[in-house]
Amino acid sequence: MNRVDFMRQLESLLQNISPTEREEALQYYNDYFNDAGEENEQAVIEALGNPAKVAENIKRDLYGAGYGDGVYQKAASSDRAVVQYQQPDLNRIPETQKQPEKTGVPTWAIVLLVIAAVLFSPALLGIAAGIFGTLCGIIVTWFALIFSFGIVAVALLILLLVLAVTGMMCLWADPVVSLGLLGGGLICGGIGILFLMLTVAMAGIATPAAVKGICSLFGRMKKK
Amino acid sequence: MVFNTGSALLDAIVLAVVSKEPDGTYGYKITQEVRQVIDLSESTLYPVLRRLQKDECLEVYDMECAGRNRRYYKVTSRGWAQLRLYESEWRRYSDKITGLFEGRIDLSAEMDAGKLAKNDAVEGKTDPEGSGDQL
Repeated sequence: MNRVDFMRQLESLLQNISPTEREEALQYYNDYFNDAGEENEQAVIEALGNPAKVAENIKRDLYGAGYGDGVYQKAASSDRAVVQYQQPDLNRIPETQKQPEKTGVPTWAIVLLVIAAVLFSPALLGIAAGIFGTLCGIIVTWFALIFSFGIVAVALLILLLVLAVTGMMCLWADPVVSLGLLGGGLICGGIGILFLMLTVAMAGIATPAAVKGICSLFGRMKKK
Repeated sequence: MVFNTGSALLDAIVLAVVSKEPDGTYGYKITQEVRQVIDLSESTLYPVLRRLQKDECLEVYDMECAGRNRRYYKVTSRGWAQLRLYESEWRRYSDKITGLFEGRIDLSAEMDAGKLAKNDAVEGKTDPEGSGDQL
């Protein structure tokens, strides 16, 4: 058997594999003969064995029954020598990789937060100022109301005094007018007392309660 | 040879041989060089080269040489990574076997440590019962 016979037999034995694989294999063995040189032709044919054996080796690998199962990791894990040392290694690598990841995520989050804070700072400042202003407004309005109610109460009580005094003074000169003045003065005094009660309630009861409520709210937030 | 060469080791040897030539090398030369290291049938090598090529550990290119095209094989970056893995795995593997042969690994010490650990576990379980009897 010479080189041409060998190649022809090999080609016919590889008819049932894909044309690409066949071409690849034939080119390889053609190269092989060329590189071995004419003087080594018989030696190569003897070393390769018969074409059937060569073809069998090629096909066995293609269908994943012989050396290697196509995928690299599979080929490695089918080999015991590697498996026993590779498996603990595979477990070890993720463990050491996990740790930098755990610390890595928060730094990313911090960086993102800082960027977000810088980007949104005008809007955040505006919102904060708005909330602060509204709160100040509510507080000022509250105290202004208390103050004005107090003033109204004082004014009404003064009016009661004035009306009562004038009513008393003209009791004999004009009893009807005097009684009217006295009645008006007492009505004013009653309303004034109501306003005084409202002022006391707002200043002495509602305000401390509101302050207490806000303080406890902040206390809870601090605890959390 | 007494020991047979598994597929992973064969891959490692072929990758190592090809990696010695930065510009690539060809099938016949690879076969002769591998045969200097291990004894294998010449028809075994083509499937290995083809598989390594499919796994992108080797890349091929054709270059004209003496009036005809010759196919060259070259290790890819993936092939280099695989080769490094094989090298370190081989070192661990061969160190242990050599250590065993040369008596550097003290098997009895490791066995004793294992037994002691087991005994401790058994004692820990039986102890509460023993103290209960005493009371």
